[in-house]
Amino acid sequence: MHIPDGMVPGDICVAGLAGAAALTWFCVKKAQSTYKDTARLVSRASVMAAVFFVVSWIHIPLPPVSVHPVLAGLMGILLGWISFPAILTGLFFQAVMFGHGGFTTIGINSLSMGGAALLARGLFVLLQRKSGERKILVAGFVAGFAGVMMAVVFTCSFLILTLPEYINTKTEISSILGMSAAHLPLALAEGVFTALVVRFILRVRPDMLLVA
Amino acid sequence: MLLHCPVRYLFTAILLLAASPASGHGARISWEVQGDSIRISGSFDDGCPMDQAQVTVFSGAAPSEPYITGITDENGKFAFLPDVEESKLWDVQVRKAGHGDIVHISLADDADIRNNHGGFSVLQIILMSGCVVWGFTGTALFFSSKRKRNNAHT
Repeated sequence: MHIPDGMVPGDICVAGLAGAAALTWFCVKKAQSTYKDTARLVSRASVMAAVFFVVSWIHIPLPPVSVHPVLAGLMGILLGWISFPAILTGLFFQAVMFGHGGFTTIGINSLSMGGAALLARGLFVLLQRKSGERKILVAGFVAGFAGVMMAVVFTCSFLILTLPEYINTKTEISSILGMSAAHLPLALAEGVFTALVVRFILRVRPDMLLVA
Repeated sequence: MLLHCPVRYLFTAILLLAASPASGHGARISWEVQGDSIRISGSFDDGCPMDQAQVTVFSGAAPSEPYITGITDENGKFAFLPDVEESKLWDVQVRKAGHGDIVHISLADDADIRNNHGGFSVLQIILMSGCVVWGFTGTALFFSSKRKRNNAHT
């Protein structure tokens, strides 16, 4: 899921960093205007960033590749607009501490995963409004599932659209599509997990869902 | 306070689960000079070889044009003969499905003849993860206590 250094051209990396910076600024502004208790939001974002940072080390072998949880949907549901900066922070520490991902690609990676979190959050709010509280499980599942799949689609799009001419593009695209397909079981599992977490939070702390 | 709510058990469970021995799926590329050739070995973080990965070799004299391209064998290995008259600096990229890395090889007389990227031990990973998680948790507690103080004043 993380694109390492050297896999995409330099100009795309710069554009990714610029896009991530702009989206971070926008998300922070939106969070400040949308949510009253920003201190609570920052503390929650810190904990969730830690969770995001650590879960990437859970290695799930799905031959011929291995995948790791993303939790984009859950991040979006619990953090709303601030999920993008939280994911960016988690990615930064993953790159600094373990070289997981890359420094130059941190913008692209955050746009893929953070963008997926924001869109999953939008889906959750939309479905919840349409279906009512009883169908919140479905909304949580869809958000969790879509969070992974959208991140996969964004990442694969970045990779495929920037393939260099000197490599065998057919082979590489085939490998990338294989990797994408391997994320389907993970997306289903994350959908179920997100739905269960949402139901649990709804029972104990419904205010945490930030639905506005 | 945030960590006094029942959700803390959920976070604790996730963190404990994540603390079990695991590895990501980054790539490790090592190289070794053997005689006139350079042998490349690619593997994922979990030790699986990067078989059928695409290898592109760039010469320091023409870094934008591939010197040679190829594919690793089933053990993730690839070898090539560099033209030392052309350049003593070589870059080798190994990639598969968007995963991979670039290694920079110097064939100067005083340079190392191998680079085995050892990666991190499980203990190092746990220690570093713990430090980062502690930092995040501290930030959460700081903002949480700040909010509590503000509420007490008002």
